[in-house]
Amino acid sequence: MKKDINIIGISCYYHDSAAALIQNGTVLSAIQEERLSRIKHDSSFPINSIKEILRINKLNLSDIDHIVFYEKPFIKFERLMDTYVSFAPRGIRSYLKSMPLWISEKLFQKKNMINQLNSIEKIKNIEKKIKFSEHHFSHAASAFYPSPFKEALILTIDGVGEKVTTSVAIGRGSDIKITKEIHFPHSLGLLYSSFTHFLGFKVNDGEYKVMGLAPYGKSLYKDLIYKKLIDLKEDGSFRLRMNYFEFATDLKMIGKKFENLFGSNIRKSNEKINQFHMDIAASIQDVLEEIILKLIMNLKKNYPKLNNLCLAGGVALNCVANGKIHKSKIFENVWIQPASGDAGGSIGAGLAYWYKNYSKDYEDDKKKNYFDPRLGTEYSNEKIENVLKKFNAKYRYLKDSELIRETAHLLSEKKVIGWFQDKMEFGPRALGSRSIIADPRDQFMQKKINMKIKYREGFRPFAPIVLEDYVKKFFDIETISPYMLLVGQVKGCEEQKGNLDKFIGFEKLKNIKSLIPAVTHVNYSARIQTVSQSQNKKIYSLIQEFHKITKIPILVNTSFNIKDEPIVESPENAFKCFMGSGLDYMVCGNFLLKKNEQYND
Amino acid sequence: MRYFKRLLKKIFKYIQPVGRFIGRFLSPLSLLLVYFFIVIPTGIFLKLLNKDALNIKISKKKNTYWISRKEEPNFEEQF
Ligand SMILES: [Fe+2]
Repeated sequence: MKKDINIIGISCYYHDSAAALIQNGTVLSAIQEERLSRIKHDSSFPINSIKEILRINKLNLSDIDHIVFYEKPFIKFERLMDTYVSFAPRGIRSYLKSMPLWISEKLFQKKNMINQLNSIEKIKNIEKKIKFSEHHFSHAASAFYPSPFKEALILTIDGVGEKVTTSVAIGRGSDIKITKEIHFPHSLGLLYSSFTHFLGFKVNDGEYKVMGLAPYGKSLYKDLIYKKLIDLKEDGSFRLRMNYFEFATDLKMIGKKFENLFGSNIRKSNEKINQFHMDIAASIQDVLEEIILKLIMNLKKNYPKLNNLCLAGGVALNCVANGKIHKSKIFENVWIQPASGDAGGSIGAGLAYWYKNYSKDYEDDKKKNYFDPRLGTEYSNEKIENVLKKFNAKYRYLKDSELIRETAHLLSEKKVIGWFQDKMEFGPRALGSRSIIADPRDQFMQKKINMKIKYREGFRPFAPIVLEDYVKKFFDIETISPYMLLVGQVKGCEEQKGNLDKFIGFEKLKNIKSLIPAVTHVNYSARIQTVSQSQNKKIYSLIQEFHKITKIPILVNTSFNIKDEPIVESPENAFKCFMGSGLDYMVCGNFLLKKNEQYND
Repeated sequence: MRYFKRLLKKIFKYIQPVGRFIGRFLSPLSLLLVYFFIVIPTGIFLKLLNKDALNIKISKKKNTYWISRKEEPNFEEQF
């Protein structure tokens, strides 16, 4: 028997750090550090994730053959210096702020990583085991190797990684070749983030809010954006007109010139969102979709024989754009890495290294039809019960079939339930392992969950999770969407369109007429997750049971957390979130907990 | 290119400890000096040469902004 080759992929020091274990070319585990450290978007070295991954797989650090970092620190530094030189004397403030950090710390990331790893276990020559991938190569690898395709075009789009913001690569078998790139500062990710900032949301976090706001507005500023902010070539390649942006030189994204262009100041986070903001969101979303479609259309022209497209990079989390890519049918098949942000770079870095150096020694085909994103820790009923006992919780143990039946009934009675099962998902979405689930038929469900559980004012509906067999009956998408990365239209609402025009702003969401209003957006779209029996047996059976009662094979699925907290990871996290929020019930493994039975004595 | 990289690697090996030392004690003042005597002049110099290191300029003549790439990524170096 061949010795196992174990590789740990790491992404950190910028945003959303994570670690992944790749054994003989297969991703066995992957965890985002924030879930363990409980610091949202934690970007520090993923020490907890590495320890946990080793523990889950019963490995020591000395069993690991290579540790692959997802990007190259020195190229990033070079880009920074190029930027300061090119823009000088603009940028002095940013220079003074970031230089000390680079000189004292960031240039020595390798040393820092060695120190961190040494704190887990001292290993001789560990520095020889540390490798460095490239940012967009990591993204590309994370999109191609886990995809079901043997051959595909790979497009990665994000804010910036080292120097690159956009890359095109060809994946064939075990090989990925990058063919072309667009470099910093010209970036669709940073363009979108500039608008995120302009609309008063947090950069690298609020982008999905811009996307959710867009359906309320009209794309009135599209022409202005094309005219002033971006130069778009026929083939979809682009450059930003940098005199309108500050991100290259300052600590902020945009400044006065951008504000003047649209005749409005940056929205303060407590300022009311009005129609102008909605129109801005609609415009930038429109522009983003158009450019991506143009890019893809031209790539297809360049590579007419390729029928498969893989996507990754932060911008690939824009599920509205993804929905349009699918619908356009420019490429017959599309696969998007569910952890398309930088956390997913950990998977990509490890896979890239394995395929480059070892794949030839392995005859068997690593391609699978389905990439299971449940790559975190699993908690047995025994472990869960210990935690519940520790908290003096009142709970009932139910057999699988009883658990499904009772939970489905509670859901049909409009109870909101925290659902904790199996291994945790990797990536920004809860896909049925750490989810809050509810009845989508309830007009007030969206408001109820937002007010009682998530503690936010929501202008976005929740996402539906639908049985794969019924997706075409309820939505207009032609494909499965197991990672909640596609937006499609809710069927049967065609006549309703236009009816919402008489309502202003956020009033629209409260007046939706649909069979499933809690998951229907104001333009009658929905961010769809499909599920099959083989993908997730438990939630599949639950929805099946709910279907029997209600004739609706769909549930509301939102992440199990409250505002500004990472998604719950452990039974402890789950119990605390359950008690600290307005959840009616929690199902944790085979245990059912009712809120108003807790702490009654 | 290869040679250049090896050279860079050597240089980095030597300046790393120095950089660490400097980094700890470098005052904002000396950073400012570097900015005014190195960063800005280099910027002006590049401008005089009409070099656009970051490719910032919008170009009517170009019909694409794609930069083609042949180089394969290496995994050994930090650059
Ligand atoms: Fe990225």
